[in-house]
Parts: sequence; structure tokens; C-alpha cells
Amino acid sequence: MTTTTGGGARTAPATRRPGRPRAALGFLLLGLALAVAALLSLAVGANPLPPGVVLDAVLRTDPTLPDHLVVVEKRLPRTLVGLTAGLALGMAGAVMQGLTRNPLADPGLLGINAGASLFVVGAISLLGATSPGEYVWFAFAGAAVSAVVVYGVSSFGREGATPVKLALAGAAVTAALTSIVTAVLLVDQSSLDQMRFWQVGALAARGLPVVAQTTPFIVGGALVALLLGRSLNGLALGDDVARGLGQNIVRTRILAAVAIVALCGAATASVGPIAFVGLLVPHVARSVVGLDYRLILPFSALASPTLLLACDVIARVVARPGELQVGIVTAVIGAPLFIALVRKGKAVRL
Amino acid sequence: MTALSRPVQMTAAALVGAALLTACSGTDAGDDGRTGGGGGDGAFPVTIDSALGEAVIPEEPERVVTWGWSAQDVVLALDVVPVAMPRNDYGGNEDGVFEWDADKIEELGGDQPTILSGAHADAPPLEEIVEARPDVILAPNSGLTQEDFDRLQEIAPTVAYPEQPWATTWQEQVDIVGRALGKEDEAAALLEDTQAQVEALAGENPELEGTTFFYAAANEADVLNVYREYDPRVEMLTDLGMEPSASVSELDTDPDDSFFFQVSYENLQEIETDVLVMYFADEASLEEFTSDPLVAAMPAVQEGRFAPIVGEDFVMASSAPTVLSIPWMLDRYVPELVAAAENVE
Repeated sequence: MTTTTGGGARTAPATRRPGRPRAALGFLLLGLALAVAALLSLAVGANPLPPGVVLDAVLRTDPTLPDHLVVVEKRLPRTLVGLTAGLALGMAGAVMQGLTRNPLADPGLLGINAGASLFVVGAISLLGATSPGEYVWFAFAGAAVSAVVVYGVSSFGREGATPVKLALAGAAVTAALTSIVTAVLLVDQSSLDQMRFWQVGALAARGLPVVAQTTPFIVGGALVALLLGRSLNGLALGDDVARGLGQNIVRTRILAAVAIVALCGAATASVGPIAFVGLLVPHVARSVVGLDYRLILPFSALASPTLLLACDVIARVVARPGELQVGIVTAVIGAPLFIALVRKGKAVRL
Repeated sequence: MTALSRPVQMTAAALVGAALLTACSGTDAGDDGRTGGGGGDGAFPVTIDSALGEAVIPEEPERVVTWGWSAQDVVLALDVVPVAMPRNDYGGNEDGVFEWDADKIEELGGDQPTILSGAHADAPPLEEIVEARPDVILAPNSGLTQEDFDRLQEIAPTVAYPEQPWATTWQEQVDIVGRALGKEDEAAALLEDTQAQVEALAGENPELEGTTFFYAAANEADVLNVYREYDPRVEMLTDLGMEPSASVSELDTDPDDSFFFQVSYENLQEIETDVLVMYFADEASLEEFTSDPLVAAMPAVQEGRFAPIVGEDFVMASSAPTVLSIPWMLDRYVPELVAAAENVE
């Protein structure tokens, strides 16, 4: 019973305990990897610009030079979108997996993507929204509304919003909303074109306004998520144990839901539905730092944008002189990685 | 995501599918499909071979149903109003009928065709087709499957594509439809007239001769889709005397892939051309494109050597040219190309 006040490692018996210096070194390396990914994202693209030009473009931007525009107008916003959305995807995945105790939890599971899609298609079809800056708010609102609905529906009954009920309600809401989206798209060709643009899951062409619009939500959601680490450790032991440990389960669930809506909503709004990043990274985190959410959350916050930016760099160079959407690369890379994790038996353990 | 795959396929048909017209554009309007009868006026029965099987048309068909891309254009151009034809959401009017088809139907008089539901990429609506009591079903440029074909054959003799789905040129379509309707001579004349019209316009506008062009579309985020030489859009411009810019082949790393390839906005400055030709569904998407700083920095855009094709009907007519859509759009298309070509130093 005293474990709640003890070290994080003790709350979760199965944790492999990395020593404090080792953990610090690990996070330092992760931070370095993220910095390298961000630099690569600025330096590497469909146009093989020399590093000197890239440096020049950042330090002494000349808006009359197309090469500088490539770096400042394309790669820089894209890198910032990757950083913020990547962080949000990773932390959202971690919180969702902790909250639902479902190893497959990701933004698709709780109806977040479906809600965002419905609102985006509504904005395009009914209100004539055309640019990401316009429909980002609708994606966000849709994510929030569907999360509230899913949470509300699964709160009925005595036990409240249990993991199983959350997953079931999420699946049901996703199915319902997706069919409405499909119905709208079937009759509205011009919505389809815009929707395709959003739905494809890309960092390109989102732009700085999208970063500015979503960053406050991502920062807020990330802070709430970081504060939830210990409570999620408690939830991992089961509701009864957590309650026995003196935790306020309802408050934890509500705060976690708020963090998820802020993070998932912002990530989905800015980059569209990107598969596997939010699902995969928390599993990698668990296999490296153990089961302590106070370590899993910051690990995911650093590793997810690294993965996303690395995938985006790959997406830009494999199809020169064109480029792929990052969503395609994360799926191609993420699927086998995820299968490998499952086969090693690490993914299913929460 | 999976739930969206069907609409995405629809897009492929509605936007891009037209371009699949192209794959074998050897424009061999020749005899490979013909086995029996053939021959001029009223030489029925006619047998037409397709990739999916034979159609035996016993006598001159009166009730014609079309399916797939543009077959109704040829039928109408041969002065026959189909009893049923497919809906065209992209570029059609509120009934899903192209303006050039609507004009021709009005000119010919008679009953309005039934508009078949479903996108071209879907299975044909069998019940609606039965209802139309066809004598012949013409789908020379379509995505019919063997199963679709077999079912349609039970309703009426059905003509599918000669080799590949969605890969029949507009010239081949004229030949196939002409034979099916027993109007081979008229079809040949139609083809000749249309070709002559294009040539005449080329002659009247010598500015176009030898002017290089780069044909692309901004359908995706920060990436241009560039059409290769055998695309019907591109062929139309070469028929008018223009020449594909060298940049097209220089940037093309995988020329045998499909009818288009992609160039990132990062590489827009690699594009060297006299005239940049692109299509846009509406003014808003044109503005969105030109507001991109890298696009605005392109010499062709800065110097007015840019010929945007704006509006769904105009886009359809110029992207999937037919004997009806070519006359409809050329009077508008050519002046815009000339205006851009005149700004070439």
C-alpha cells in the first residue's frame, strides 16, 4: 500500500529498472536522435540541395532564390509539423494504451479519426472549406466531440468507463461515423478531392498556420499527460488495486481523456490520420524503459517525432523527383516492426 | 481508411481514369477487332471481338445503352441518342450529362436518355440496363469485369474494350462504335473531320508550332502530376503543333510506369518550358496553386507563359477528348494556349 509514494519502479512489479544515470543517458541519446532527425528534415528532400545552401537559406533567407524558398517555405514548416504532430501522436498513443489497458489503442480506436474525418468532410461539403488552415479546427472539434461521445456512452452502467466499454464504444462510434463520411463522399465529388488531400496523412503542405493553431493544444495535452504518469501506473494494476491505492480513478480517466482529445485532435487535425506511430512507439518505450508511465510518456514524446521525421525524410527521397506521403512510409515501416514486437511477446504486455 | 477506398477508386475514375484512355495510343483504328461481316451500310449481322468475348449484333440497333467513358459522345456524334448512358459527376451538369452531350441530344431531338446510376468504376447497374431494353450495350472504354460482361451479354450483345480496361483511345472508340452501329463510313468521316479541325486550328495559329509545353496537374499536396507523352491531353497539344518540353523526359525517372509521374514542389525550378499547361476544377484551386511561393517563383508563371484550364467541364473535355468534346472545347482552349505562347520571348 505504500508503493504509491515510493519510486516509480516499485509501483509496477514487472518493471525492468534502468538505473537513473542509464535512463538519463538514454533520454540524452533520444534527444540527440530527435535533433538529428530534425536537421535531416531541413537538409534532405526531393531536391538534393547542398548543405551550404540549406544553411544559407536558414541564416540569410533570400526570398528571391527558389532554393531558399524550398528550405524556408517547405522544409521548415514541414519539420515543425512533424515535431509537434509526432510528439502528440506518441504521447496520445501512450496515454490511450494506459487508459484503456488495450495494447492496440491508437487514435483510430476511440473514434478520434472518424470524428475528425466527419467534421472535416462536413466543413468541406457544407461550408466550402478548402485549405488545411480552415479545416484544422473542424478536425479538432470532431475529434473532441467523438471522444466525448465515446467516453459518455461507455460511462453508462455501474462500473463507469471501463477499458472494454471504451474500446467497444470507440469501435461502434467509428463504424457509424465512417459510414456517414462515406455516404457524403459518394455523393459529393468535390469534397472527395479535398478530403483525399487531408486523409492521406502527410506533413507536406500543412504550413505554419497549422502549427500555430495546434501547438497550444499539444503543449497543454502533453503537460497533462506528463502529470498523469503515476496515475496511469496505478490504472495498469486494475481498477480495484488502483482504488485500493487511494487513487481517484474517475479523475484520472477524465484527465486522460482531456489529454487524448487535445493530443489526438491536434495531431489528426494537422497531419491527417497517420498510422502506426502512436501505436508503435509506446510499445518500443515499454520494451526499453519498462512499464513505468513516468518514463514511457517522455520516451514517447521524444521517439515519436524522431520516427515521424525520419519516415518523412525517407518519403522525400525514395520517389525523386516526386515524393511519397509520410503516411505510406509509416505504414510500410510500422507494420513489420509492430509484427516483430508482437512476435517477441513484448507488445501485448502492458 | 478502408471505408474510403471505394471513393478513392471513384476518384481514380472520375479525375484520372479519363487519362487511362491512353495506354496504347498507337491509334491503330485498324481491323484487329473485326472478325465477321463488317462492311458498310447495314451489313448486319456484325460481330465485334473484345477482350472479354464476342458481341454478335444481328441487325442495326435502335436502342443503344452506353457504359464507361465517352462512348455516348461517339454514339451521339453518329446521330443516335442512346436510351441510357452513365452519369458523369465530374464535369457534368446537375443531371450528370456533359454539356456537349446535352447540346447534341437537344439538336437530335427525341427522348432524353435514362441516366444510369453508379460511377464508371462500379459494376454496371444491371436492373436499370434491363429496364432500358437495349439492342446493344457499348462499353468500349470501361472497367467491365468478365462477370459484368457475361451478365450484360444475357441482356443484349455487349461490346467491351479491345485489350485493356480503361485504355481505349478516342480514335479506337470511334471505330468500334461505328462498326457496332453499322455506320462505319460515317465514323471514318467523323474521325477525319475532327482530325482536320485540329489541324486547321494548328494552321491558323502558327504561334503554337514548336512551342514547348509541360502538362501537369496539382492534385496532391506539394507534388505535381506530370502527364507523359502518350496521354490524350498531351497528344492533343502535339496535334496542335506544340512539343513536349525536354524537362518532361529529363525529370522522368521511370518512363514506363503509367500515364503520369510526380515532381515535388521542391523541384519546380527544374522545369524548363515555354508554356506550362495545367488544369484546375475551379478558380479557387487555381488561386491556391499560384499562391504557393515556389509556384509564384516559376518563370512560366511569372512571365504569363501559364495556360490554366479552369472548370470541371473544360477539364473533362480537354483531358478525355472525343469527337464531340474536341469541337466543344477547342475554340476556348486554343486562344488560351496562344495567349500563353505569345508571352514566350
